[in-house]
Amino acid sequence: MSNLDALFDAAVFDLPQQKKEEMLLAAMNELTQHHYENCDPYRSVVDGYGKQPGKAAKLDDLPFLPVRMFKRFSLKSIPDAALFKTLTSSGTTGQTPSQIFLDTRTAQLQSKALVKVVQSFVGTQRLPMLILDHPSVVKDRQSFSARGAGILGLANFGRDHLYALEDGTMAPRIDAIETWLEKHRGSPVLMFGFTFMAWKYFTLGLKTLGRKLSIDNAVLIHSGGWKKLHDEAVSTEVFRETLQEWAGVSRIHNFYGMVEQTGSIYVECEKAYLHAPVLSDIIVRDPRDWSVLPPGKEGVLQVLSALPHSYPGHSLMTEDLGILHGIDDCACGRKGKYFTVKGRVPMAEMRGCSDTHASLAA
Amino acid sequence: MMHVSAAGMPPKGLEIIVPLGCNLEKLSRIQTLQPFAPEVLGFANALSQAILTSPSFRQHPDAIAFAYWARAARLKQLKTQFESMESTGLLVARGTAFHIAPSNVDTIFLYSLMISLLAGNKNIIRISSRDNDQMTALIALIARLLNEPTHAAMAERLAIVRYGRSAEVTQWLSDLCDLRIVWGGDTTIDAIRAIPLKPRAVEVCFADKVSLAVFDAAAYCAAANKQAMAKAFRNDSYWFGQMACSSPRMVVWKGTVSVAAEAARLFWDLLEDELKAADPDLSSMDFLNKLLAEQSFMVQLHGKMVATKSNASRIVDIASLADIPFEEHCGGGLFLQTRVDSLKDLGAYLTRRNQTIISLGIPSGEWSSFIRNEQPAGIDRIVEIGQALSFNTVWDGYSLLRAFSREISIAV
Repeated sequence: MSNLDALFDAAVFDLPQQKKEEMLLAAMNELTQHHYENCDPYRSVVDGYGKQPGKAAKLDDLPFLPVRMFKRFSLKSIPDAALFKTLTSSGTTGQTPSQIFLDTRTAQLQSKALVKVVQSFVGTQRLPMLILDHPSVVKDRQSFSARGAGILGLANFGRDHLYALEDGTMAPRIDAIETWLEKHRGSPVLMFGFTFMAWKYFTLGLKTLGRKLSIDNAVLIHSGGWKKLHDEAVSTEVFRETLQEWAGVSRIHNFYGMVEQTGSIYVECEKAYLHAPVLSDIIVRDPRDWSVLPPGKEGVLQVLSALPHSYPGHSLMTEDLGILHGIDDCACGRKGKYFTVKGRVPMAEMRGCSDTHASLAA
Repeated sequence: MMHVSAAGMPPKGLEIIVPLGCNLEKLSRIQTLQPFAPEVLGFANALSQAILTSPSFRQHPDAIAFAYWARAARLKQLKTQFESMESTGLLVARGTAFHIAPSNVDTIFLYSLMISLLAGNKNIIRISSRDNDQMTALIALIARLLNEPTHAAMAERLAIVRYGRSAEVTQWLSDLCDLRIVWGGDTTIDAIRAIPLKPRAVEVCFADKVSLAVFDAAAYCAAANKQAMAKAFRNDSYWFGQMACSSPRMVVWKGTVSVAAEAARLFWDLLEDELKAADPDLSSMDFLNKLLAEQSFMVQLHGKMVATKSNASRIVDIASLADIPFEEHCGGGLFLQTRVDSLKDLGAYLTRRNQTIISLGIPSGEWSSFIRNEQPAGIDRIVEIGQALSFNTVWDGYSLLRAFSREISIAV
């Protein structure tokens, strides 16, 4: 049985860290070797640091790429003919987006991993699924935005999907939703959306219309970061309370993930901590020297995933700050590392003689 | 070329910050002064003294450096040098100078303004919309001085303006000027050059530049004051996030493989000690930017990382000076490093993009021979370690006083 198969077979949040690290390390070393052999730019980086591919003694010793490498270079470990899908990240205006190249194998692994994680929170039944977005978000099948990719990924284990928002206005489709809820009365329901969409268009949309929904027995999974909400002075508590008041939803799980490691999601437990599932892990590093930080100390998050085979995305340095809270001892009962994400690393000040804003000229 | 007529009111969006109520067209028509006129020297002295004695500038070393440069004794020297430049006639002002200041190094606008005033010009300076303490303090000080009756002649001949992106406003101001001075790099220059000047106006532009250090390895190894050199290099490299046109972003060792290796080892260790003693205050994003840049250099140049204890300094060894994508260099304490056998090997790689060479252990005679023999396409100045950021009136290859003035020859 391969290292990867063994990881897929293991219980998603039940493996003690030490055992998990043994298995994950073996898989990660294989991936480093694989990408070293098949991706020239990646090989240059591994050689640049003088690392021996495939020989890391612990997860901490693996080389890591900053996520922006995928904006700057086309990184793939497959021939062009094997390309199945290209995922792009939403960048800030003017920036080139990240390009993530998938072959069918990696896409399938990502799906499989996602199912494993989400089912551990919502059960194995395919539940009726309410998507807090609008139908056109998944229109372009050749090249998906992060939102589109996320929705399609999770849509797989729901059924009778309903998009909750109107194309164009983004208003909640109250009548359609109520009909749909009536149809599925008595059944648990799965809801998914990006945090900002769930707040601004769904929750606030209901409030504007003055219409409360009663979606009891639902579990909402949402992701996309809290920054936009915090910018509008909406705390995580306000998000949860308002959603509960206007839609009756009380089981709410945030998750952390990124297009550069699709399929590797870290879901919030009942105690409000994000958990690393068996095929992924996180390391918190001090940006001043990249040393590994112990629990309780804030640093930059490095993310590991055993899934990326078609592109060298298995060990990445994010631009997010986080804190490791503990290992194997979360009050929710799940094993492995559990952490929180504080937010993005703040932008650096602009310096130097050149106007980096060309817009100031002429 | 169609020119928008400069008659009438300035277009919307143009904000005149100092002096209040200034009429720019009137400014453009008023008579120029003699170079180094007493009114200008008086104003320079007042400005310099005010900065040096005011508590509000204590935490602004750039402003202090400018004030020190603009002191009376220094300007007297400049006057003597200027007069010696007159060959067949007299040097006089060009007229109205329109300066476009860079957004990220505040004091450049002061040097530009001062040299242009010394040349006798009238000046309209466009400053960036970015606000910060130092700029606010400087503008307030200038406003105060221009209000004083002693500086009335200056108040009629200088204006500081601000406006958002507007080709219309830039055109209107360009039509008033005889000299357009563009700081702020390649993108700004491209944008401004798209807006035509009057046929008899001239333009001086300061494009993106990259600077480097060239050290004689054996001389470094033999040097007694290595710690002082580390401090000097730290000052050269860490100001302005290592992104000023004079900041050294690369170190070239001149010497044999083994001596260069030993010199490099000592040098980077001592720099790390210096950085530990005097924290350069880099942010987490600076470290992430460097991680991306160093890996970009690994991919594009097969660079190899030189180990450091902290991320305050990151060093990438490269095989040659050929084809370095400097636009990927993010500053913040990132250094490319290479070795050459002799200065001759450097010649072919220096382009117009290279401004300053920070030199250590290489005498002036050797540099002169190098320049004469190799005729490098690039470099504008060579300075001692520690002097990278000191402003000089010969900048980017222009003798600024000369560039901002014109000569009337007399042959009778």
